[in-house]
Amino acid sequence: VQQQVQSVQHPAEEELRLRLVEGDETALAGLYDRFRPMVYGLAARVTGDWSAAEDVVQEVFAEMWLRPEAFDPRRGSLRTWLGTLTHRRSVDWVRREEARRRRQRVAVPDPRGSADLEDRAVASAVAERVRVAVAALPAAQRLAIQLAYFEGRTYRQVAEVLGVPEGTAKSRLRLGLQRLALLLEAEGITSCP
Amino acid sequence: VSVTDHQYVAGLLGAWALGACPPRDAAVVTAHLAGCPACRAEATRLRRAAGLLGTQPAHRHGSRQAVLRAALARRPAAIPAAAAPYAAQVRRLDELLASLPPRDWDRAVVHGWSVAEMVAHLHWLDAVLAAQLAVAGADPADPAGSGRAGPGSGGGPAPEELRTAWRAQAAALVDAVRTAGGTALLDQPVELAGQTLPVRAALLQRAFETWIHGDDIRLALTVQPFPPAPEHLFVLAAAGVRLLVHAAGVRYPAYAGRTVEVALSGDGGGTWTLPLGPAGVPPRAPARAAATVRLDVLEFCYLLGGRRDPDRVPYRATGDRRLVRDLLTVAAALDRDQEIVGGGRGVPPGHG
Repeated sequence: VQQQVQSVQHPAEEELRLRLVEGDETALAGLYDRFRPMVYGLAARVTGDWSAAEDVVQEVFAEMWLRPEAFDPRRGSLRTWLGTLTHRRSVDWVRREEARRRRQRVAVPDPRGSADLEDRAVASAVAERVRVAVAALPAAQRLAIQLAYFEGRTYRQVAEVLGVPEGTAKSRLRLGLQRLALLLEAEGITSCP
Repeated sequence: VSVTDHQYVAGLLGAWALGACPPRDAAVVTAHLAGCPACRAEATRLRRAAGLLGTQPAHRHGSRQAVLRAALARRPAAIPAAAAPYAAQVRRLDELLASLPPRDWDRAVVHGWSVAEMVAHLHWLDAVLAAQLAVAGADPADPAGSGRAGPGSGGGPAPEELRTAWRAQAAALVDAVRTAGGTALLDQPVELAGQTLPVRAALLQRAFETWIHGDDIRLALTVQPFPPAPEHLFVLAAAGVRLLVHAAGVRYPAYAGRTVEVALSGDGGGTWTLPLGPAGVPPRAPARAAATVRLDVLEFCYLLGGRRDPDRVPYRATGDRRLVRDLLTVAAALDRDQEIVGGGRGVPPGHG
């Protein structure tokens, strides 16, 4: 018995996989709680877009739930496997996004798509200009600000998610906000309507 | 104002403007701003820019619930959450038993029980619950191996028979919970080991006992213990904490209504602040906990399972230390008093 138990490299991961195969929903929840930060952080780094990263998170955990048999604990850890899935899905998103941008440059006069048109109809002119200014930030700074502001993370957590030193996270937040202030001041926007 | 201070705070201004500083850093910034016009000017400007982000819709569609729901919509769960800790422990113990050579089934494991007796005991208590859930074939008065697998009787059923019967009944029990769906069944009261408790608590009790006995066998075989998955350990520990504060308030009426904080560390741990005594006892003022006890979540569970000596389990207490000591003594006695795991008492008919 002892030998058998020791020969399994990741008994807890083998068990988690079995529970997913059996359809144990607490295994899915446990998987999510343990690996969401890793999956989200990797997806955010590859896509450079927090909203796309959320989509990738959803796809990765759904895929793991739908096809747990694809994970083979004898060939590597669960973390590595989820990292591979995440990377694959994130790259898919980046490719789709690039294709979309190419199509829009060719054919579509409005660069923002129909969903945005509705938002834009209700949003104030200020909100629209803020949106454009945020979109104009370098991706690294935009992502850091989005994580801090919209996800309510501290700069330490931002650093952790992005896999950068704390000092880098702090300076991305500061430089990003400075640039945002500059862009908006140039448009005469200094306060909310 | 020192230069280092100034540089440190200036570096934090972006995070500060976005509300992304931990409390200690935020306090350092606020203190510095009072005496530094340059930082104050930049802070004002960055706060204004951060404020403008409030005009943006925060489309947070990636909440935990949304992600889990999306997955479950594409493939419904086959094992309901309430029965999952039990189902997982049953599968583990089954794997362990399957790996045992027949001669190991007579091996004394704990409290003088052999593996065979332990499995018969588990089967019997599962049957007590299963019978109340109208699981076909579940009969606590005549469990598999009853009267035949007694200590020293020799002529008990074959290990394979015992294991198969126990496992089949466990599967039927999980299936009964799944087919019932919803929470009506889970809230239904049942009688188990001298207690009246809702089905959801009874399922956790069965999970707990199955785990502890699995570890008893592992210990006897000098195999590493196998703690439950963190998400299961958490619900087991939570149920244990509730059981304990209840029992402690009953055992020591003087403590009833006093609040205690139980902080369990490690994967699957958590912190619970609860008044001692039966559920519904109003907490006594002040609401602040009279005592805090910190210990490892696994050690806590082993203590509740009667597998640790309260005098030797490592813990840290603050506040009313005597209350903590009494609490741990009650914890260690719960197994004996309330048959959480069983050890010598509560044997099935024909095993006494």
